[in-house]
Amino acid sequence: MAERPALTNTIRRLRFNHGEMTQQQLADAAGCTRQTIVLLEQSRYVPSLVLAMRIAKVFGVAVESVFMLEE
Amino acid sequence: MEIIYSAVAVLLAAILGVLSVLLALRALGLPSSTTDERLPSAPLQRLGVSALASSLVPAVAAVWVILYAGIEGYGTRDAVRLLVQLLGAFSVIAAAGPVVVARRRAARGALRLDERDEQILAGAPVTQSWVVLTMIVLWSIALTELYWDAGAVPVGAVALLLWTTVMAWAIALPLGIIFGYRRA
Repeated sequence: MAERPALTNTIRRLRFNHGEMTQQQLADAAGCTRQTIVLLEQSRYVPSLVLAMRIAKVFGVAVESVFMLEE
Repeated sequence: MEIIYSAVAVLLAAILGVLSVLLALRALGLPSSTTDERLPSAPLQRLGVSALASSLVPAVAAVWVILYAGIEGYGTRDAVRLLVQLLGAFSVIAAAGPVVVARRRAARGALRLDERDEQILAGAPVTQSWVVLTMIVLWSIALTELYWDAGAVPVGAVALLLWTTVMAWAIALPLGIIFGYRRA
């Protein structure tokens, strides 16, 4: 079985750059739980496209600026 | 007269079940006690723990009654049968009720279940399937060993097989939710 590529993100940095937004605030804005945000920041969960786009919209940036594929 | 006893048992089970569902639903609003760096618990995760705890108590009590009275006692004594049915129904409501209510609240927008929660909920029935299969295998082996010489299985044993399997199936739902959060 082919190894899944890793997905990294800049959520933590973007949070701090947006008025030190808390994980709970980001979760509320993106419509997910704080646990999901924590797992995303730790790269332990791969979000759906919808959630990824919601998170990017919260920060006002493109999805590619938030999530990057590491091959 | 037995119909009245059964009706009372069902009514008591429903009341106890609703109370335990309300208690489990309170866990949805509890704040997560972890720090920002450790993994906080999700509302559905807390509900799963609460539902599992409240459903295990009557289930263990039912098993204790069954072991105390035996299969023959279950088949011949009305009080034993009604007590097991009461505890069994209570256990099922306590296990599955909170999850059903949580899904309805989420559909109305009153509760947040995100995509991860939905994935975990969708995966919980796998645990239920394994539990049911295990119960059927265990009961089959037990009844075969106990009644092979007799050549027939008492009706009470069949009823117990059903009740215990249904209880285990219901309890496996919050258990599957908890396993899902540990795996995810």
